Amino acid sequence: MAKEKVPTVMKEKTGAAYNPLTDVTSALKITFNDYFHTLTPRLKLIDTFLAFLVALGILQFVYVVLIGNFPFNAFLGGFCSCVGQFVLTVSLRLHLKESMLEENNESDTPDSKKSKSDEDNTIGLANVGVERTFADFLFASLILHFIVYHFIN
Amino acid sequence: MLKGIWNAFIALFMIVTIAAANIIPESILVLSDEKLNNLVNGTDPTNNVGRLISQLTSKGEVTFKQYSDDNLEVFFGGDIKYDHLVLLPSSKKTVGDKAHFTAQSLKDFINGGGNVLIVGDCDAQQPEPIKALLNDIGIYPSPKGYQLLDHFNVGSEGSGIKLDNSNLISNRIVDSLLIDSYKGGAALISGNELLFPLVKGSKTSFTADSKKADVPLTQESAWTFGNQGFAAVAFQALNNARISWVGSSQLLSPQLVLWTLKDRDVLKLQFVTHSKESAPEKVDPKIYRVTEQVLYTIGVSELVDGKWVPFEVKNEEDKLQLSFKMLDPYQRINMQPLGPVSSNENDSRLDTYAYLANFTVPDHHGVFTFELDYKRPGLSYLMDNRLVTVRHLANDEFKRSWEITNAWLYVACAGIVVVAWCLFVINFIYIGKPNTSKKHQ
Repeated sequence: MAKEKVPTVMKEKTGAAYNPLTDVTSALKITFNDYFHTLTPRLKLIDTFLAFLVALGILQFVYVVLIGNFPFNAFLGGFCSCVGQFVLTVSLRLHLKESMLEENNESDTPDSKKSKSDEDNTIGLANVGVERTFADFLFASLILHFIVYHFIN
Repeated sequence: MLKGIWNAFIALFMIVTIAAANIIPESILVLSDEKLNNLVNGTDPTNNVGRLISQLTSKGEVTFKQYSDDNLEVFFGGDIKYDHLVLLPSSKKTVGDKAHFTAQSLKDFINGGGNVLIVGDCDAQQPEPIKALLNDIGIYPSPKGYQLLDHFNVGSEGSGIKLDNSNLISNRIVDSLLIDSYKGGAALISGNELLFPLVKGSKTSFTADSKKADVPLTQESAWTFGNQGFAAVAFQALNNARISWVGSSQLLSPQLVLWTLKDRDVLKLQFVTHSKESAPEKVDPKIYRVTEQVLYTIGVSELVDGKWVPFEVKNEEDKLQLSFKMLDPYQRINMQPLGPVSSNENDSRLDTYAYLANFTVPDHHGVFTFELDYKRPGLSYLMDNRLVTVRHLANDEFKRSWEITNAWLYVACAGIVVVAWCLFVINFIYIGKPNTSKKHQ
């Protein structure tokens, strides 16, 4: 879909009324469209959570700049819990996207030779991949929160 | 039976006599020259020297000796033989006992705790060892024949000069001075910190040979000019031994004699304790924690008329100070007076004045010293050092985060992240299900 759009942009560039702003807005538009097109409820949930973590991290940073870093361990604990959780969630999202794409590719390309049981099996494998990723995410997050709790003291 | 009781009685009597003999009267050695002062055959009580001798005899056991005597030893074995030494002027430069009466033996006498009173005279001189001793401690008396003179302030008898309170350097030993006609020498002094002059010459005074009055006054012919010359100088060694020099017996005031013989301005540190303010019942702990409150208490007594009485600081500059130091003083504070107390638990007599310093241990761990270093001119010195360890906070002595208001936001954020994470996980699981079911359809 993105490849189809590129020629239209090129055309506009050659036109007399060339505006660099439209270039940027169109690029943004494409990104947004692409994003909302591929959005699943799970990814939406992940993104909401990520936005929340960023907001919380910024809040703490502003606080430490304004008030001073007296209980520095507490600040590090609070801030690192946000950052760490953010990183873990992003990696979860990447894994999820990957496995979703694989799934889509498999379902999009019709393979007559594949039996139904095989198809089930591959879907099952993909599902196991997601679950495994999610379990890793849970485990890593628990360790992170444990460490943060002890670091905050 | 009777004999046994008698023996017991004798033993008891002996114990009592020995106990009584322990209170030995102070012994004083007076050295003089019979050509100048004939002390052995009675002295004139109206004379300055006579007054001095009667003051000395009322104080202790006085031994009179001549400078020409063969035995002038001031040591008995390794200890000093006399408590005090009074050195009157002499007509000769030499002494009879050259082997034992030297500047070194006099210094050893002072190091052994003996006090020395040296009396000068413009018509006589000090024997060589005494002069050397004076020069060593930084007093340079004018030579024989030199006299403190002042043409603007001639004494009542037409000779000598008049000394009054304007010549007195403020000190705690002598509070007033009035001599109508002072006939005596003056001394130059060095910058020795332990020296403190008592009587100075007036601005227009000078010290020169009184017999060469017609010779013009030059740098060479004069010993001192103006305020350079001092007629009475006192010295207190670090072991509290006292030495005083006066240019003439006219300046032998009873107060100065009392001071030199350690009858006044003698201080005693009765007790020194320190404790934590949180646990004052545990006295002198070896270890303190950083930023702890400390109570440091001392008791000081002063000797007045042979008795210890509370020593109360009256002036700002005489305040007792405590330093809490590790190489450098981290704290140096004035001690607050608490009031008279008793130095002995079983005694109700209030003989000590207590002082308190209440301060915070610096936020620095290491080996610290409570240092009391009290050196005021005229008062005997007080020195006390107590070594303690200051440790840093133990692992469990730091404040928990929730006790610090600043940390509340961080703690809350970490908690919110956990809660949000839980919600996220639950939602993630439940949102996933319709997704997969959709795919299966």
